[in-house]
Order: sequence, then C-alpha cells, then structure tokens
Amino acid sequence: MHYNTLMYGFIFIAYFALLTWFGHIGYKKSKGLTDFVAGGFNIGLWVSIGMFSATWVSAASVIGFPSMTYQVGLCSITAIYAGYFFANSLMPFLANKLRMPELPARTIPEYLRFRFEPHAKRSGLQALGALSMLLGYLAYVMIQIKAVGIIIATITGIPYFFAVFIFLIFLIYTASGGMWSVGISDLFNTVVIVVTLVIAAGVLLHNAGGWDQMWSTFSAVSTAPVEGGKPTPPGQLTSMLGPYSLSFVIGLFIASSFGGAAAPHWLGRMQMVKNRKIAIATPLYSQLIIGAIFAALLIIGVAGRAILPTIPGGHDTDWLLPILFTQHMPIFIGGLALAGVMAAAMSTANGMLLHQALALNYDIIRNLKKEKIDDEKMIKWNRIIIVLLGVAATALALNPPKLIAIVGALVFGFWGCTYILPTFVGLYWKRFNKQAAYWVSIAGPLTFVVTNKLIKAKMMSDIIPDMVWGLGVGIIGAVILSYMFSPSPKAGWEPYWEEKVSEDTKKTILAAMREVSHPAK
Amino acid sequence: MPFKTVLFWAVCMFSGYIWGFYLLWKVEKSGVKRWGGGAGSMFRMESKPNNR
Repeated sequence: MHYNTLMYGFIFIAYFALLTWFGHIGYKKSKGLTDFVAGGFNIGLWVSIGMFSATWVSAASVIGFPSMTYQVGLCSITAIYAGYFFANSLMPFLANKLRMPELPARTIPEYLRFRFEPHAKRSGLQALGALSMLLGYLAYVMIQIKAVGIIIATITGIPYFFAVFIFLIFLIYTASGGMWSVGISDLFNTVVIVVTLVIAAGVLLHNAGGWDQMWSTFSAVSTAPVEGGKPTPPGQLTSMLGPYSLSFVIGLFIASSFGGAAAPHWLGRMQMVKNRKIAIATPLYSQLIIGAIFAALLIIGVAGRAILPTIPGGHDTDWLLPILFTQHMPIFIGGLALAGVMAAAMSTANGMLLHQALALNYDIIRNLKKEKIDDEKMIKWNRIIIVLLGVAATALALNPPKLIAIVGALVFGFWGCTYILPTFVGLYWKRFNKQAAYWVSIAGPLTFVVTNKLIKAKMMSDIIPDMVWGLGVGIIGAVILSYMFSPSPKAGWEPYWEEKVSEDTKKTILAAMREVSHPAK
Repeated sequence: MPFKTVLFWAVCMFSGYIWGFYLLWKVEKSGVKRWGGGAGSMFRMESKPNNR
C-alpha cells in the first residue's frame, strides 16, 4: 500500500509540475486584455484543437460516461454522448459565421450585444447571457472538482474535503493566466488524456477476456450496479433506451446536441481563432481525437461491468474509474490513467472558470458600468474573481449531486434554450432582432426549468421533453417579435453577412468594445 | 456490440464532415485572405507569406 501511494504521488507530482510549466508559457504570452480574454484573436489550429479536445473531454465524460454505461448500459450513447458528437458536427455552421467579422466579439455574451443591440450604451442582452454562463459554469466546475476530489481521496486517503482544495490551487493557477495559459496547458492535457485512457482501456479489455467475451458478459449481467440497489433487468444494458422513456432520451439528446453546440464556451472559442477556416476545421479535426478517447471510455465502462458486476463498498457508480484503476490494473498504468482523469477535469475546469469570471467581470460589471475600466485593472480583478468563484464551486463540490452525467446534460439544456436560437437562427436570418433575442434569453430557459420541474414531479406529461418546450416557446415568440419590430440595425448584421463593412459599422463596434482601434492589431 | 447503437453514434459523429468540408471549400473559393481563403487548398489554414 505504501509503495502504491508513493507511485501515484510521483505520477501526480510529475503531472502537476508539467502542467504548471505549460501554464507558465501561456502567462508570458498574455500581454493585454484581448490576449487575456480572447487569445488576441490569434489562436492557431493546433492550440485550438488542443483546447477544444481537452475542454470537451471533461470529468463529466471521463467519469460520467463509463459510470452511466456501467449503470444503465448503451443508452448512455443514444441519450447523451452521441448527442455531444452531433454537437461537434453542428458547430461548423456556427463557426462559419461567428469568425467572419474582422473584429469579432471577445466573448459570446458580447456577440449578443454586437449582433442585436450594437448601439446600446449598456447591454441587457450581454448581461443576461453572462448570467446564464455564471450559473451554468458554477455547476459544471463543481462537477470537475468532485471528480478529482474522488480520485485524490481514493488514492491517497486524504479526506475528500482537503482533496478538493488541492485541485483548486492548480485550477486557479492555470485559469488566472488567461486564454493563452488555458490553451497551451490544454494541448498538454489532450496528449495525457489520449495516451493514458487508451492504455487503460487496453488493459481492462484484456482483463475482461477480450472483445467478444467482454460483450457477452456485459449483455448477460443482471446484478444490481450498486450494493443494495435494484438488479439490472436482463437485456437493459444493450438496449438503446435503457430504463428511460423515448421522450426523456430525445430530450437529453437535443440538450446534448443542439445545446452542446451552442454552449457558450464553444461559441466563444470560435471567435478567438486566427481565421474562419480554423474555426470551421477545429471541431472536425477534434472529432477524431475525441472519438478515440470516447471509444476507450466505452470499453472502460463495458469492461468494468463485465469485470465488476456490482460496485463495492457502498459507493455510487461514479466511483467505477478510481476502483478499476487502483484495483484492476498494474500500479503504474493505473496511476497514469488517474492522471488522465485529472487532466480531463483540469482542462475543462480551467477554461470554464476563466469564462465564468469573464462573464461576471467583462460581460456584467464592465458592460454595465458607465466609466471605462483600465485593462490592467480588468485583468487583476479577473484573477480575484477566479479565486472567489473557484472557492464557491469547491464549496458546492463538498455536497455534490449523485449522477454526474445527468447534471451535465441539464446545464446544456439551460444554455441551449438561451443560446441556440440567437446563434443558429440569428446568424442565418437577418430579420432576427433585439426583441426576439430578449424573449429567447428570458422565456426559453425559464420554460425549460419550469417544465423540467413539472415533468419530474409528474404534474405534466413527458411526451414533449422540457428542452423542446423551452425551444418551442423561444422560437414562436422570436418569430412573432421579429416581424412585429424592426430588424437589427446594419451594424448588427453587416459583419456576419459581408466581407467588408462600412466605416459606421466599424465605429459602432469599436465603441461597443470601448476601444478606439482594433484591439489585436 | 449492438449494431444500431454503433450506427447511430457513427452518423452523429461523421455527418458534420459533409457540410464542414463544404464550408471549408466555400471559404477557400472566396479567396479572402483574412478568412484563410485562397491558400491553395481547403485543408491549408492560411496562405504562405511571400518571401523575397
């Protein structure tokens, strides 16, 4: 046991040391506010793919996917994870337009301002968009922290309470360096994730008796997934719906796919890359890397159930990975695999923490304050807010929700109802106006939350999923309002439709950004 | 492995390449340098600088 702890400790220390080094490279690259917030609109293809892949593969995926596959079977793919791949497939449509302007928005709430109310002195849309990000990222960062807390607590014996704070320190370090620090450390994290998880999957596949034996054992499992739980009905693990109704699965799929594609961190990242082609190519190339990672995770979940039909020790299925990696493979490989899980959690959490802090500092405070705030002060305040929000998410992680994957999908549903229509429709329909955007930002997520609660309390039929209600109310109101009121002003639509924009449009956008010239030139 | 689930996953994963490659081709054809257009191939992200 002592030797095991030393080995894991050595691997974790090596991981965090390398992470710190890569993060430091990014610190040095951030020279001003646009570098800090948006990578200077100059992020190249490989850093972009690294950021994208690493952020995509979060603890919700690495722990949640095998956990859900273990518990309820292959409906984890149909309900949620295939939806995430479809989200990647949809992203080129958004990337194609979001990176058209010579001067894109620095954040995605700022896109709402530029597109729908570019002349506003203070933008309510920017603030509303930021509010949804603040709440959503609090939940999502909490999920990552929970995952790493479980790992560190399991391996080292350090109480979960202290384990989560250890993770917090490194999280704050990489997030505080701005978008370059996040991006470069994510390149490193992507390599760690791919290599370690593929190796771990190979070992577990071997332990399960090979491909055919693994599937045969998995299909026949009928024990309870957790001690004291209900036994798994025969055949459920290989069914496309599992224990869920068709409408519930459809609702989760829509939340994961359309909601996933319109998640504010993806939208924001599409605006940061060097050019429009890189924005389109990033999700396409990343899909292959993510596909390899998810194939490994599927094997881990399926082989896990074949090797260990019930999770021991009174734990829930989110503990599957720590148990498999510490008890069912050689120590060194298990340690590497656990580093892969930490890399997944870190690479998602640092970007989300940064986006969350920017949502508060840049999109709410800077937006709504009358006076311009000095760039240096903005960056300093952003670092302070990162610490405060990180502590808040950690405090939540001390009493976390049980099934990671379902919570992740609900967050995407909330964002989806906020951002899907102003992007998928707003970027391709000139007529979509400010009133429609306000309607969608308020009525959409409210409808989603209310119908979600009513359906869960069985006060409403679940034939129409909550996500469809949210989007339906949004689109109907948006179309009516788009025809009742005038379209967006020229400065709002021109950058997303024309290669060259008028001088008036340029001046309007610069004024909205509170700059006098292009901030990245 | 159940075939229907694999097929569903594959469609979700690869459908994006159909319209994604089309959009890359359109940007390349536009010739607009700041978009990465006119680089010589839809898979080349930006033009090479001219070296004298």
